[in-house]
Amino acid sequence: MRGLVLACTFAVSAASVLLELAGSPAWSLAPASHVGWVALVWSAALTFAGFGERAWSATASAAACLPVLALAVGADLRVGDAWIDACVRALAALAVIVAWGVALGRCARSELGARVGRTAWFVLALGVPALVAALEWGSADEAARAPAWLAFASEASPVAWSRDLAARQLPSGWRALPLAPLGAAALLFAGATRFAGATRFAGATRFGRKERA
Amino acid sequence: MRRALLVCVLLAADARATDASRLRIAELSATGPLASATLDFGGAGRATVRLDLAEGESRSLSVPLPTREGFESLVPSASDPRLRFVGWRPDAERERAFASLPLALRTRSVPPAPARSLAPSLAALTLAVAGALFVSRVRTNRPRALLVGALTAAAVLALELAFDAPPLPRIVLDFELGADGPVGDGVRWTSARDRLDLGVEPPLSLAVEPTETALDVRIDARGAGPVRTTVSGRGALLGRADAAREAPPDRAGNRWGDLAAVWTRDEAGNWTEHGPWAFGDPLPTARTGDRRPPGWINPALPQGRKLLIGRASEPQPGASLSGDPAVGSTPGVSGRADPEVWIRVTGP
Repeated sequence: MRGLVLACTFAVSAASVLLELAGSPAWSLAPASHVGWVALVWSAALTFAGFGERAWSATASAAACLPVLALAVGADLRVGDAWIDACVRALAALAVIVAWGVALGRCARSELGARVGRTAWFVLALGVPALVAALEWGSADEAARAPAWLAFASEASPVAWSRDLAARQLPSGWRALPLAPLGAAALLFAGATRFAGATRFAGATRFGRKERA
Repeated sequence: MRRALLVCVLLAADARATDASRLRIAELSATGPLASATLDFGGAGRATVRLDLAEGESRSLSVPLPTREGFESLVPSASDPRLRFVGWRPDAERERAFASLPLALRTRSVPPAPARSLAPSLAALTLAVAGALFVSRVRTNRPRALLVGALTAAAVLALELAFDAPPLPRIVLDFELGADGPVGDGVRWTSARDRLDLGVEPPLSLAVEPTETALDVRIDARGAGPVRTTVSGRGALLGRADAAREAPPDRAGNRWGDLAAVWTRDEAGNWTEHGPWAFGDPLPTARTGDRRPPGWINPALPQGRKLLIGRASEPQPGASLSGDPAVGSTPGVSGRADPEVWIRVTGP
């Protein structure tokens, strides 16, 4: 991630905690989860990852995210969340950010991988949740729900998971864990590794043919 | 007519439900050596008793323990057999004292506690920014960047917890005035969110919202002094009700204490602000403009009657005047922070 993007991400994600300094209920994020808001902003900032930027690795980005995540955990604890709940949520959010950051970073290593990574990000992480939101929020029928398969696909989006975390709309127990976003990131990582290997092999073959010629 | 009767019966049943205190006095028997033990009351909550009993010592305790509708007959299980639950103690005096308070006052909902500040401490905020900047300096060395980030996060969290202020309680004194003066004693509500220090005097009644909240009662019975009790309910509004025996201010003269701001409402529902009202003075003249009291203090108050609402200038008004030790000690307030005190007078 670029330094400026990272600085903006840090500032925007910290905004929810900073706004509490105003002391006005109108400016307070509660009862929404501050950890969820931080996860949402950092997930959204992953859009910039995977575009060949080497200055900020996924690990370094996660390291920069940790202090603001700690501030958010503190705010959630003051809202009345249990210690264990707040810490599990923060660790889960961190895992999602790191997993998708690493997967997109791996995608950026080859041209084909970068294309696939961008496509997967825009379709799965941003597009499908946006479509679900449009179908559910924009429908004339307030009880309307998106098709089950679309809602299922939306669960794999780190942005949609973070949004549900922020709105405290995740199911209880182990189902609140981001298994789908982590699984999708793992699949993307595996695919990107394969594409990178195939590209190296193709490059080496072409180079060999030129040498022979 | 039948329908009206049914409504009255339902209202009376609801009033009884509101009366139900979430704490009841119970007898416990402890045998040493014993430092701590927990009693589990199922859905009503649990109680942790801290003692300092040596080998061969024993002690009997009368302490407030959690209860809830549907769990009254539950015999709690103890984490240590040396702490024995003897049984609930009939507390007719306390129940009578609560029942003698005006029905209109004791069935009111608990006044909301002040909103808890969610703002981080300046130290934690500064450390978070400094940590992020330091991470940016060492970002090329990933393990070091991760270590710096993790250490900063741990320090930020530690600072957040260290500077976390306890929930601030709020005291609201409710009085009912008839044509001939006060109608019985008033009700002193002490409300706080999450945690309420009950001190050494159990309340006449403890209301909890949501009602199904499991309470965590901590009883400190160490030493020879009186037993101190703290009650917690995560995310819950806790409100203790006690009798307020001091004289309420009436419009002819303020015999209660200095008030920083006063509002009155007439029978037609028009609000008037009067500004500060010093002890001994008659009610100040009205100020111009439509300035109402904060919305939280006047919901569900009776319509068509006069109201007087005031905010005390100091945390303990009337403490030195009433001579009532309960007023000075302010049950429910641990003394670490000064609670805001409000007064509501209905009628005449």
